[in-house]
Amino acid sequence: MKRVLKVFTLSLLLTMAIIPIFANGSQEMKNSSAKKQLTLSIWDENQKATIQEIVDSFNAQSTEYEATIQLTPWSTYWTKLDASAGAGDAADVFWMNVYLPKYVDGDVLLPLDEYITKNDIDINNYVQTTLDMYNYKNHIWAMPKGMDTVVVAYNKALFDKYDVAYPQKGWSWDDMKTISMELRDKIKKAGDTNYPILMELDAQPSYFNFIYQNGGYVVSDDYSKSGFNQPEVAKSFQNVVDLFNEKLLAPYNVLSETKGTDLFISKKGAMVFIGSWKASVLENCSIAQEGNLGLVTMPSQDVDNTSVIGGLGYAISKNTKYPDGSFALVKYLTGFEGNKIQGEKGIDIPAYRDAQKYYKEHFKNIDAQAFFDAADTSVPFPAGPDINAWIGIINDNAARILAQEISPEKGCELIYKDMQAAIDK
Amino acid sequence: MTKQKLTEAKSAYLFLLPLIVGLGYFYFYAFIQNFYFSFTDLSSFGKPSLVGLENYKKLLTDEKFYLAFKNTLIYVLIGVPSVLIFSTLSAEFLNQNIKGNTFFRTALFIPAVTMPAAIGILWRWLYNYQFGIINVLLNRVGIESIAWLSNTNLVKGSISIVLVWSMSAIYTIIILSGLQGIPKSYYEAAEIDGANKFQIFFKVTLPLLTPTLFFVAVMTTIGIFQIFDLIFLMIQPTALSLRYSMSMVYYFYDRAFVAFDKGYASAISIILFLMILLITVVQLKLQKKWVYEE
Repeated sequence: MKRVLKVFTLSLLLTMAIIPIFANGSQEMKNSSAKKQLTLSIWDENQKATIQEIVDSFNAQSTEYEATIQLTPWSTYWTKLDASAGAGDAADVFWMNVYLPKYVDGDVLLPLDEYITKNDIDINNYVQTTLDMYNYKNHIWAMPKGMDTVVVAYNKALFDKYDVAYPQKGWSWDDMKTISMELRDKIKKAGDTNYPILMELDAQPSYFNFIYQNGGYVVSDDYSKSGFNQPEVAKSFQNVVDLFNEKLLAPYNVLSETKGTDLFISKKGAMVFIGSWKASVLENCSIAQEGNLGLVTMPSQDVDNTSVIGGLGYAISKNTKYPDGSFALVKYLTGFEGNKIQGEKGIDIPAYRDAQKYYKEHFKNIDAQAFFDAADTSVPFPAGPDINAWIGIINDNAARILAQEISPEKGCELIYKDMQAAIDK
Repeated sequence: MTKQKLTEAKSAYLFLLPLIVGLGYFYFYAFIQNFYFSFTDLSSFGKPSLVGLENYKKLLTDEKFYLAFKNTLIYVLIGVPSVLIFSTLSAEFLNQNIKGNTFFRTALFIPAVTMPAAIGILWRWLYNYQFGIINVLLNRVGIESIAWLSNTNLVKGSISIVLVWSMSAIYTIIILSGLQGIPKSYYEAAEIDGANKFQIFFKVTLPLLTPTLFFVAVMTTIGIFQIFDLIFLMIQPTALSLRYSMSMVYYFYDRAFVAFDKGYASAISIILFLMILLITVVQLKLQKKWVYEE
């Protein structure tokens, strides 16, 4: 009996010693101040330090509330959010993106309309497209934080080497092809292995833009119709396939194994279609530091040079204990001050127009003006409540089209069939 | 039972308690819960509602599921014999008393103690079409670059090479201990009868090794059916070759955590479970046919 008691006590003590490891410190931490606690959930560790600055500033000026940041890496962010939101236990404020409709339909977000009016927020201060992104079923569900656009980056040193004229703002797809053919021929003559054009084969920095540039759409504005039965969409894919076949774009094998951006900053290509979210990568690469990095808006196709705009917003949990406090935090984060700090640190292009100039000033080696220009002709990233059901269908078949396993017409046909079926369900 | 035995039994159970509680909740309960979910429409929020065999019916017409299934079968069919052969040869090699034995043992064992993430990322760069060392060396001897990971016909083979290399490490050790368990008297008898090295290997060593080989075959089959991390690490999600390399577990991950269709994903995992169960039972039944019993 004595021995059993010893063993039992020892096991109990050991178990008790391990329990604190599982305690969620950030939620139950006793605070010396009497301020109400708010949690802010984000996923990007690159932006954390700057967001912390804004949060510290908020905490200093708030007599009632104190906010802490919870960082969850991207790979687990949505799983965690889903689980906690489903349990009514999500962070008070959290980053939200194009997945918004799913969360609205899941009834886990606080509608912000009344808070916007109550707090006298002038929504005209924000880039219109960013507001549209968080407007769903006639309510506003998040305040815009930043925006991403897609542009073309080019290596001036390579252009100089082969004596080809730089791309100019307002250029067309045909201009791009002419420049690229000249590059291709001169590269070959010099016996080098560079590529005229590079691309990342993900939807946002490539074909989603091209679809709109040719007058098509990915999904209708009311999210009920797939756009892939339009001939314009098949044409936009054909244009890319032509680039492969004319050897103006690096081969599919190369691009599907190594990211276009990495190839570009390793000086393997003259031009790359790239998103503004890579701004700091560009700022710090050797091409930029040598003063050879140029940025220009995308070339126009049949209609124009539309860029798809992605971006993040701050949403509030429906079950937050402090809706007014949470909105106060959101108001601060997305207000002029918050955006100014964001811009100065160059972490995200402010959605608040008057603060955008600070973003531009942050960059010493690149001219960020092209990112703003791209917003002039832009559409929100196509999303809707069924995006999780159809984005995979598009990605899979786009890969087959770009690898030329199937024709653009066939691929779009397949996408349309499955995507419309997914929406209709 | 005597009083002392009773006391000892009680302490034994107490020591086992933490493990059993953990296993019970994180394995057995989780398994049953997953099985339940496969009959529901569990997604991101809300209470899942029962949908009967809906998910399983959907699987029957799901092209991607068949692709994943086919790919996984091919990995097993290539991988299991390859691991068996490679491990046995390595073990036989290590069993000889040659110079540098310890070095070879360590070198062959390294994959077993390396994180799969490290192995995946390393080989991803070795295989890279434009910059990988393998192609660079091939070019030096006048051979054109090979698209190891983006050629849709080669990608499964390329991944299998890494898979077999990394899995064999631990099984080499197991087979080695199996080899060392063979009484020397058999070898002596064979030598006296005038058998050469090959005859000894095939007529003496292998038959006596079959119990160990059986164990390796079963474990390898179960392991390769669940292949995921190498594919996840080595292939970009937007690459076409993913279609020709994704496994059932990868498709499960895709449905559960990218498409948030968790009920459907559970159904996929149950099918995989049944598949592995069936094959293992078949292997056990075949045991009598080829495993040598002493």
